[in-house]
Amino acid sequence: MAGLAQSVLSVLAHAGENLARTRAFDFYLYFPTAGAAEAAGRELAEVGFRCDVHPAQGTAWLCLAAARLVPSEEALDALGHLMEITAEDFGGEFDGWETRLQVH
Amino acid sequence: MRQGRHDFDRLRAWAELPGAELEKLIDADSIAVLRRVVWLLGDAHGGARGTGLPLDRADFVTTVREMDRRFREGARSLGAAMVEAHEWGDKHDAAKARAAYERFIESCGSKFHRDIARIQLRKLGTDMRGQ
Repeated sequence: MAGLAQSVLSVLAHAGENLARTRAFDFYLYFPTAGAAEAAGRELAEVGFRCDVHPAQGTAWLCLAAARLVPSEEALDALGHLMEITAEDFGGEFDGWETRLQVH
Repeated sequence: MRQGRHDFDRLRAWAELPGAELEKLIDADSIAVLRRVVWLLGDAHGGARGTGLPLDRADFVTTVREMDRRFREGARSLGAAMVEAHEWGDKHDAAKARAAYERFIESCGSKFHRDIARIQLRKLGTDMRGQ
C-alpha cells in the first residue's frame, strides 16, 4: 500500500495535477454482509467520512467512504491504516482508494 | 517511516494472535521490532522508551496489545483530524483547519501519528495559500 500510494501520487504529479490542493478520495471496503458494511460505515462516519453502502459483485457489500484531503504519501498511509483496521473489525477487506484526474 | 510501516504490519498480525501463540514468537528479532514500534507509538512524555512499559519477554504480549490499541486509536483520531481540517479548508477557514491538527498533535500520545499530522499541517498551509 505504501509504495502504491507514492507511485500513484507520482503519476498524478506527472499528469499535471496540483498535489498541494484538496481533492476528493474514495476508499473501498468490502464486507460479506450488508450489516457489516453498514456498521463499518457508521464507524467511519463518526470519524467524518461520508459513507454509502452498495451491493457489490457476488454476495459482497461495498462500503464506499469519501473524504477530501490534501494528498500525501503519509496521509494516504495513515488513512489506509484506518481503513484496514475498520475493515478487519467488521470481517471485511480494504481494497484501496481512488481519486479522479481533474480536467484543466 | 518506511521501516515503521513494515513494523506496524507485524504488530497488527501479532495482535490477532492469542497470547499463547504470541509467546512462541518471542525472540531477539521480534523484541527489536516491538521496541521500534514502542518508540514510534510511545508517549512523548513517558520517558526514554516512551510508554513506561518495560519491554522484555515477560511483557511482550502485554506490550503488543497496548501498542495495537495505540495504533488503532492513533489512526482513528488522526483520520478524524484530517477530515475535519480539510472540511474547514474547503470553507477557506485556515484557522479552524489548523486548530483541528493542533488539537490532535497536543492530545495524541503517538509520535508516529503526530509526525504525520505535522506534515499535513504544513501541507495544509500550502493548500490554503493556493486557494
